[in-house]
Amino acid sequence: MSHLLATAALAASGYGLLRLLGLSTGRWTVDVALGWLAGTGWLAFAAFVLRFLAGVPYTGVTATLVVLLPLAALVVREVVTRRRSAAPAEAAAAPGATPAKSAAAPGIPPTAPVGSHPRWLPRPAWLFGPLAAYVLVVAVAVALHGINTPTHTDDGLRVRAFAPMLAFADAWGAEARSVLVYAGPLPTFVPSLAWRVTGVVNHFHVNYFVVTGLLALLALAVALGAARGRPERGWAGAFGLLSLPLLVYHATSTYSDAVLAIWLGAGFLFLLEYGRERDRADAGRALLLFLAAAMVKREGEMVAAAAAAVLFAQVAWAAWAGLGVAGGVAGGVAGGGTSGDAGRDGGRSRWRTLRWLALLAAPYLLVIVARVRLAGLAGAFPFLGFVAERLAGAPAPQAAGAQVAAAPVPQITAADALPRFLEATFTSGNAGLVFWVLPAVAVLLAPSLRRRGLAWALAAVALLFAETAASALWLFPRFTVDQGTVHRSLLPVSVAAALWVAGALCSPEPAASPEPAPPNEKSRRAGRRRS
Amino acid sequence: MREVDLPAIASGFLATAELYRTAQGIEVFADGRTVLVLPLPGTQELELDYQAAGPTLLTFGNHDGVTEINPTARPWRYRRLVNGRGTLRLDLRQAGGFTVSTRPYLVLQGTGRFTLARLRARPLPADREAVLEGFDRALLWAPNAIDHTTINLLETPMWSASRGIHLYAVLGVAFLALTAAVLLGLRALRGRWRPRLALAAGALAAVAAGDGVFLAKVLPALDLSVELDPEARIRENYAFDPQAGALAALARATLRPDERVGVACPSYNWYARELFCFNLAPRRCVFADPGQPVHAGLSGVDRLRPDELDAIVSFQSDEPLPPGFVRVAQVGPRAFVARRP
Repeated sequence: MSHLLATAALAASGYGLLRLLGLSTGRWTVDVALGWLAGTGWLAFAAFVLRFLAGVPYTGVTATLVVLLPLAALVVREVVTRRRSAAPAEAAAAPGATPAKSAAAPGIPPTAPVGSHPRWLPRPAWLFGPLAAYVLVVAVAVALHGINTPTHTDDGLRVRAFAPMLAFADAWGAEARSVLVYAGPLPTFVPSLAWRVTGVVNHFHVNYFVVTGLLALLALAVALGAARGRPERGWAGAFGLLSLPLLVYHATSTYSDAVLAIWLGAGFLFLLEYGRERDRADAGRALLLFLAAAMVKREGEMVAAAAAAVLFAQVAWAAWAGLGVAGGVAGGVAGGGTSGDAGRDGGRSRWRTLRWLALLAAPYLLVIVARVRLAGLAGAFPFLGFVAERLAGAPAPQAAGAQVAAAPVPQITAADALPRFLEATFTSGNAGLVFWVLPAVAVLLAPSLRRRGLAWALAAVALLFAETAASALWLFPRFTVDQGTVHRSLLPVSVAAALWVAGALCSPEPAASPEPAPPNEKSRRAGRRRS
Repeated sequence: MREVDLPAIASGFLATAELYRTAQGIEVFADGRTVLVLPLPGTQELELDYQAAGPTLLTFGNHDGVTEINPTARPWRYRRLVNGRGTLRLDLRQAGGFTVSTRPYLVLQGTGRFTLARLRARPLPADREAVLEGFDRALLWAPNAIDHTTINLLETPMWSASRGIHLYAVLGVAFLALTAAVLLGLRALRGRWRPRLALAAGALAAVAAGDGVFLAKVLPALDLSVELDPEARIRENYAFDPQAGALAALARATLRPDERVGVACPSYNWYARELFCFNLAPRRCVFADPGQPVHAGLSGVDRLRPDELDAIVSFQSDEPLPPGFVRVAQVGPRAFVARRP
């Protein structure tokens, strides 16, 4: 019961945050799942920063205030706005509501406008019925097994499910801090919320948290597809996710790899939407969720940074190319940005979305500072240290304890790890068939990917895959050969790939007319001709 | 299945504990880990009627007579024994190391009396091709064996284990072939390329086939019951160490939240040690290894001196209780809770 209350509180808190930032979608089906995912990120961010930068103890009162803060701020803003909005024209502008899209990517049919009824049932029913049935069966199985199974892995017992108990105790000696850095703020603080408030520890809240995460991702995929008039995309995405066997199993455990993949996947859904519709609110939602994913495990920042980098690059490219931007952030704290602002306001306003995103991401610097304060520079970003060492010519890190072994441990190289990596990717079954389907879709649909707004998201998948491959082959080949981490490390990119494939196969056919070159492109070509 | 004459083969059993022939069958008192090797080479399936007392895990596998038995080696095939009478069917082909000459072994983990009442065996067919075909089929549909390391990787599903062909390699090639066939077929029929339709058809067929096998393998391995009581889940659902789960639940029920706990458990049994301290949190808990001036807990976070301990959770430990501690609750003779009176 306390978990359900905490879930509801986080969803409400996240919804308040989304409304404050102008990022609620106006669809409660989407906003509930999105609100919970964003609310968890908010709690992790605020609790972590307050505890380790401001020195505020993490108590039940602190946790409650953190959760209530976005709602309280929203209420205050509503009151102030209502007082100011005596004029009818101002009253009509509902805060936080996303205006109807008006600048979809060329060739993409308009989506269902906000306010109309979403289409929930995918067509054809004979095809999507079994897919939906599979999704429901697997989701129920994951929920039951996940709820039933006590933590039963070494890393789960020592780190992943133990970290929330340290948050409950709020005693942060050196070893506890090390556990926190390993686990990340999000899996540490979110499961402990109900414990802090009620004073009672229920070990299964860690399980509930992971299961809720997967269900939220599935619900978000389906609801978002329905809200945007493409329920096929949503159900296909959910089907694709649950066709990743290791993800399904991971979501029944208290490990954090599924958590990272889930929050990243939720952000990726909005990255896909931004590619299609160039609604800056989608870019903001994607960024928020990537920031939440960054607070999972030590690797979270590396993984989320890759996806966020593509998002920023996409927004920058759109600004540079002078493409219209849809969906303002009416009433958002960042302000500015309305439909087609780039076209109307000239060159400066083109970069408004980019600046707004940068502003949205800026508070994450506090997490970085807190992390450095917690673990020191090297401890806060161990992967950068590993990369620097490898670049300097040091051998790849070997198995723990290798340095004290009597006999020298043979060096494992990328060539040794490559067969295992290929097996993990294609034939082990842990990632299903997604890495067979992904390249085939990318190649066969290549001519239309840009018109469908899928090219940037594909770049994000490619970057995530490259990052994973570099880790598996170059940085930690030993853990690829012994299969200790290689399959798990593929989870985030598998989730992104599954959602991308579903999006590509269920996107509407682009219009037959070729995409007109953006104004800047035209002028550049003209400039080249002139020169 | 053929009925096995237990008294006739009893002398051929290899066991790490004393076996007793009784009117009920062959009996053994398991304490910790007990291994039984059955003199039944050339057997592909076993069905056994048993009687058990206490939380006990039964692992089955195949022994080649040379290699040391490691019951937790992947794929770890285990069953939780119910208290009282029960029947188990064990497909030896699904366990590791199966050959036509290996002998089945049973490993009992826990504490309590175990009686093998009746035994039925299905011998391998004489035809080699039939053996291989049956072996491949058995492994393709074998339920996932969930263990400590399943979190790292699921068992690779094999299309043909005897030939080393992975299921997902077959499905991947099938996806490509089907996509190409639909693409070319539609081009021939409709006169235009329909790559999205071809990809969707190929992907859906191949992924659905993979998902079907995945569901068939994973659902039997999952716990799909509805148990609302968290204490019952801790007590009953530590699938591969039921005795440790039972003791953890007992300790939670016995010890006050403010008691400082030491776990007396051999260091090689990392799983049980960690399981106890984890489930006893937020009580302060450390691993009470003998001879240590200061004991450390999970990830070294908590530290307590021996004289600071209020209670001991002892599991499979050969160490005597520290002076001043007395047993207050137990699951078995070597699985108990003690505290200072």
